[in-house]
Amino acid sequence: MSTLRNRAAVTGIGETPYTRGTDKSALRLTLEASLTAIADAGLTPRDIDGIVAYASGAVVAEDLLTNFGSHDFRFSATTPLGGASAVAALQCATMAVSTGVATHVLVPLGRDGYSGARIHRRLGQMRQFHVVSEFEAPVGANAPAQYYAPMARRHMELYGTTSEQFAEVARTMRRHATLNDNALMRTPMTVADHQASRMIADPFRLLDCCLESDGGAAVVVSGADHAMDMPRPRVLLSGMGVGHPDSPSAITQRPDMTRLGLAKAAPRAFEMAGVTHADIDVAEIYDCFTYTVICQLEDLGFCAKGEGGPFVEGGRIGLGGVLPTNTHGGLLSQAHVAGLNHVVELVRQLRGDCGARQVDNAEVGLVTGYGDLGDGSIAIMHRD
Amino acid sequence: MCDTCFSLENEWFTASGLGRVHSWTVCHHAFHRGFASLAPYVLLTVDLAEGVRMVAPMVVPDACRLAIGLPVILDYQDRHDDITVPRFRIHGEDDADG
Repeated sequence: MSTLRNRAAVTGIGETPYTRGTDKSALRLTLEASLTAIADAGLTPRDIDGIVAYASGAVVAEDLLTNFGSHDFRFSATTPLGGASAVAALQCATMAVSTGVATHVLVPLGRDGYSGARIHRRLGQMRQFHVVSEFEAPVGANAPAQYYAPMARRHMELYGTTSEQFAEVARTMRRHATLNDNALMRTPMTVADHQASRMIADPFRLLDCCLESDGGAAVVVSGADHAMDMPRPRVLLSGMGVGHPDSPSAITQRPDMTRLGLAKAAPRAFEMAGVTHADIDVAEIYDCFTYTVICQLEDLGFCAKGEGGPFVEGGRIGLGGVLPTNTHGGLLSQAHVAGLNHVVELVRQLRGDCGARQVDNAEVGLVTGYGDLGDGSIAIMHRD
Repeated sequence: MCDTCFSLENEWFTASGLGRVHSWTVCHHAFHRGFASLAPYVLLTVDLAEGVRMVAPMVVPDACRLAIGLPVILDYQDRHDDITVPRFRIHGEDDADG
């Protein structure tokens, strides 16, 4: 059977500086990141003939086409999976370039999530949240921290997961951010700092929660054959998958609220890529909250359900550990670009361009997205 | 629609109000100004006896007493003339805070 394995490559990456405070619009940030990614791919804007725009964002493909002066645009799509959208867009773009529908697909994402419409306020406008908006918001559940905290609490009650294990995730992302010039939070954090941070929605403290920030990121996905003749080292997309949890409209109605859509997507992606967990040199895991990383490590299959807390201990997910995770600092300490910054970082790692935070001999890596109320996406990549 | 047999038939009935705690959170930070004066408040996720789950605040916010499976019963509070909100209290206890 034909699969998407190695049919496409990420050929260009771009990021703006990340800030907390900007006078630039989301469109401006999107354009800046896109120009960087397109130039990195050795292309010009008019070479882009497909766009997968961020479904939850303010910028649509038409905004870019107008600015690009495009004359021969062929493919436009969105992947409405919240924070899982960016990684799901890689699968969508691969489907387009591997079938000849398009040649070079841009996946852009820019947001003024700190200075403009604050990220936590966007939920009310997202149609996939209408069930929680109708039944749960009126009693006081109004933000992701409040929707996800009961998942974390149940995990703690069932499996003995601790706040100190959450702190280990936060502390590790921060340590990685200190090695990244384009990370917002670069002051080292201790477990004690985490434990002293104020409670937001128990068990989530302030330092369990990701940042709101301004900035843009973009990647170019091209057919694997085209990528042979492009300037940057070829980073192939070898395994991809998207999965929805049961009861995707409401966490509360889910048979097992500690299991995410990623648990369904991950086995498909590993099978497609033909790799095992031991082959993964570096992981960029969507970290809207510390607990989300622990849960995804389980749903990815790096450990059994309930063992994610102990898994993150002992430096295992830090640089130098067995599974260096979120080497850029993640949403927790780099910036919140809805996980497209995780995609950029994985490509950069596989190119060997990460400097002080480079994982030695990184050949195979994975990136995940986690969105809305548990949608999951995954892409496994390897360098040629 | 029924997600097992795909029937579109449905009927209203009165639920018992009985349930058991499935999980919870304590909201220290109010993300909507309408809840600022209530913080910290406990939001319970409850397995209703009838088989669905429901989210509602705890009448007396005391997270220390919570555990998965704790029996609770639904209560209502008239917050304004035209707004009545559901709340849960621990089953078998008579909370006196109104």
